[in-house]
Amino acid sequence: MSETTDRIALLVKRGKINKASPFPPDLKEQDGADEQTKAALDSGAKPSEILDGCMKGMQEIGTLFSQNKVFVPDLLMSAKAMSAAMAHLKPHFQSGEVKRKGTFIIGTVTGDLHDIGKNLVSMVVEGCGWEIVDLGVDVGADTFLEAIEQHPDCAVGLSALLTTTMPAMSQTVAAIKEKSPQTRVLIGGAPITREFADKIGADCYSPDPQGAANYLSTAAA
Amino acid sequence: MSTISFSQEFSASFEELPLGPDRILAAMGYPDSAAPAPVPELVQEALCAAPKHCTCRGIFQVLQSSNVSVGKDFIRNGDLRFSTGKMIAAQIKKSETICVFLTTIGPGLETISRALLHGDDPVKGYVIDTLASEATEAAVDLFAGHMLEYCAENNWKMTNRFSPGYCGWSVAEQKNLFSLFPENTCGITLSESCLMHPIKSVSGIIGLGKNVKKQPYPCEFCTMNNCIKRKLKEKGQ
Repeated sequence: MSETTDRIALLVKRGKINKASPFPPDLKEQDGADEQTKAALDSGAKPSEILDGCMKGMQEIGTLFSQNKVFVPDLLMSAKAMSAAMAHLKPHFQSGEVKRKGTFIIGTVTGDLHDIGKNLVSMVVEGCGWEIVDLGVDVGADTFLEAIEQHPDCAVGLSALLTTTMPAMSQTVAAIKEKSPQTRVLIGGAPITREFADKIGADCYSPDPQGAANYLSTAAA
Repeated sequence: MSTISFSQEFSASFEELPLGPDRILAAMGYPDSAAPAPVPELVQEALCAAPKHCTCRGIFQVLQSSNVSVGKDFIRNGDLRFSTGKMIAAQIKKSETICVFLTTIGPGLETISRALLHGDDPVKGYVIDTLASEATEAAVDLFAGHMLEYCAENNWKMTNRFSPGYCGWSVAEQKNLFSLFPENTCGITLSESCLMHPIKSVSGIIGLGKNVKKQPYPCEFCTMNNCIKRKLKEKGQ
């Protein structure tokens, strides 16, 4: 890891967005992920070094979150810092100079309007180098299938917070596996268990965002 | 024929709720004084702004005890059967009757938090969302406290409160519970998937009777393994 990578990783992990942000207090008036990324790219750093820094920072905060050592606001602040850095990488993604690990399609299933958990998973997975296609909430199986058609090599994440919407999750997994058996499907949400994931044929269940990111890095990349 | 023996509506302002910054921070997972900046500041800001956007309303209905019976894994009110599962039925078993309730803090805070969560300040949005959830719980507890006065007249005590979606009671049973209230009671409606609108609402039942008691550790009979409150309890906070 280069010095640039380590610095970006620290700023992302600590949620230091830009110089104007007074948080965290010990980094007050210092450059944030925004300025640091721009300066690094201007001085010739490779975009992949920045991406590695984002990935490292998000992986570290995601792991601490899994261990209940930090909580949702910390993760949201890190995600915001990551976004500030990623904004500078956009042209490099478009030119193909830096590559994503893959595409992750995510949505909350039909009948369910909860999205905080889904958004946290999106942020951590994006921070781990994946392009996110967020379909939103109350998403039917057909919408997932259309998105898979547009991104044939994607992995898919389904979220549900209500026990009443678990059947919709089951139907969506069945529809995906019927039409696109090779597509990896990850599921999560408060009422979901590993047993339920096995029963409905999902490839992965994770109780936290980092678990989903780890699975994608090892099994689906 | 009505199966309700007593019904009471309540309302309260946000200021009446026993809600301070420590409770909001704890609900987000932070132990005492350990939340990083700007979280405590955002909690203070949200507490100051909340009264304008929050109207607490609730209704508590005591069912006629002659209609209520409790089985091994269900509670019956005449022809209406609540398949609560064994855990809740065991807690309600010694009750002479049950009280069904609905409570909401209205849509104000959830509208603000949703806009922020999807906009440029998700941290603030999450803080307001957490505050709204805690305000809803505090409103139920406040109103349940008022119901204790009614219970005292009958020398009754209360069990813990139980809601569809928890402790093995399917959230689909919201439909049975809502059938005991007139449509749109307290402005609360139910979606096809049994999601309440406003989202910051709580419905449920409480057992009433001379020989019931409130258990101090409700996590022991809850099945939500990933709940933050359980995780914090296990962590010793």
